[in-house]
Amino acid sequence: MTNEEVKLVEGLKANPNDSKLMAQLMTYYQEPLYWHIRRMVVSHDDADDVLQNTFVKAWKGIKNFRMEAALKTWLYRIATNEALTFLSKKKKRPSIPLGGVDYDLTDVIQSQQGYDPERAEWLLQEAMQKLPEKQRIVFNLRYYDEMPYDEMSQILDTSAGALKASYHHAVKKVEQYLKDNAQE
Amino acid sequence: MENWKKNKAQNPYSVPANYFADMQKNVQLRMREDSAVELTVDLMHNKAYPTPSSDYFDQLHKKVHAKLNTQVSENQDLIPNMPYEKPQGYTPRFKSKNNNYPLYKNSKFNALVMAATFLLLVLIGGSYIQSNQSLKVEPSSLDYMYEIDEAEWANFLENEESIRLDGASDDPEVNLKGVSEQELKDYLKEEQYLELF
Repeated sequence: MTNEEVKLVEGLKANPNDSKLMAQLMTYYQEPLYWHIRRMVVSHDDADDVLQNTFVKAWKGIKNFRMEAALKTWLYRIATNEALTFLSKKKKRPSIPLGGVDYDLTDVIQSQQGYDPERAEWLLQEAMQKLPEKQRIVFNLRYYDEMPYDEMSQILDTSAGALKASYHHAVKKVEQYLKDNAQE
Repeated sequence: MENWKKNKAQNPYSVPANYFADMQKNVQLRMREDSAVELTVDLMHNKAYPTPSSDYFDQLHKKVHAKLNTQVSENQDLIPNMPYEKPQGYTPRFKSKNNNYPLYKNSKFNALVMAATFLLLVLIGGSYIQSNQSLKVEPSSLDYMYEIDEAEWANFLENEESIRLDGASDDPEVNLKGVSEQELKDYLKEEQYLELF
């Protein structure tokens, strides 16, 4: 942890209601956390809910944060768990109850503003949604955030070797999806 | 498309303008609401007030006891000495030794009566079930065998064996010894004929 992070955490531990310190913490991490969550839940409104929950939980739990891991890793861990809990709740309770249709994130991607099936970035998002949950998170963190495997290992409680294997499988599946679905 | 690994694909999603500033305001608002809720909960559990020292409670106990003792001594004369009065026209069936207090009002006596009644009911019930079960037992076929005379039984067994050995049974399926081929064919024809009806 950097000196600045240590000061921030100690300050919030001493005075949890210090809104300036909390604003500082949010300013540091809001964008990377937002994009991490957004790529998992796809919709902006859902990402907003999950991000707010992440910061509120971090604020509540900061007094128990022992500074063994980096602040960034701890926040990413909260965000990942929040996003997964959100998705599992959403799958149990479909947003379209009368249609009888399962909650499918590919449909949400296709309903996004500016969606173009001919563009690689959209196809890549669709391919990611076809991956198993763990592989999707690993791909997201590695490909977009370029996070080192050691750091990822602390967030996901998995060995670096297993994460490398997961990323390798994910890349193969994404490649195959792009080959099958790319329009010539 | 093939170079998606080398040339990193851009994030395709868009974010509303001023989103992050609004998000921060919302989080701060939720934090304030949560703090207010926690403070209310603390107040409800009296956590917000300082806990009095243990000395305070000792003093309080002493004061309460002193007050109670004073009240008891003051009111002692007011409690009338009321002996038990028998209801008019009622003679209790059981009486205790001093003959003043009816025995049925004695809790020990009541408990004894109830225990004895329960024991009696269990005994009656048990004997009833036992007698009923013994009636329901059907006599075994072996019981009849004991009534057959031994000589008679030996004779019966001998006859059974002789039937099987000499083919003298009336049932053709028991033993076909001594039956000619023609007789067998006639028998089978007759069987088929009978089956038609």
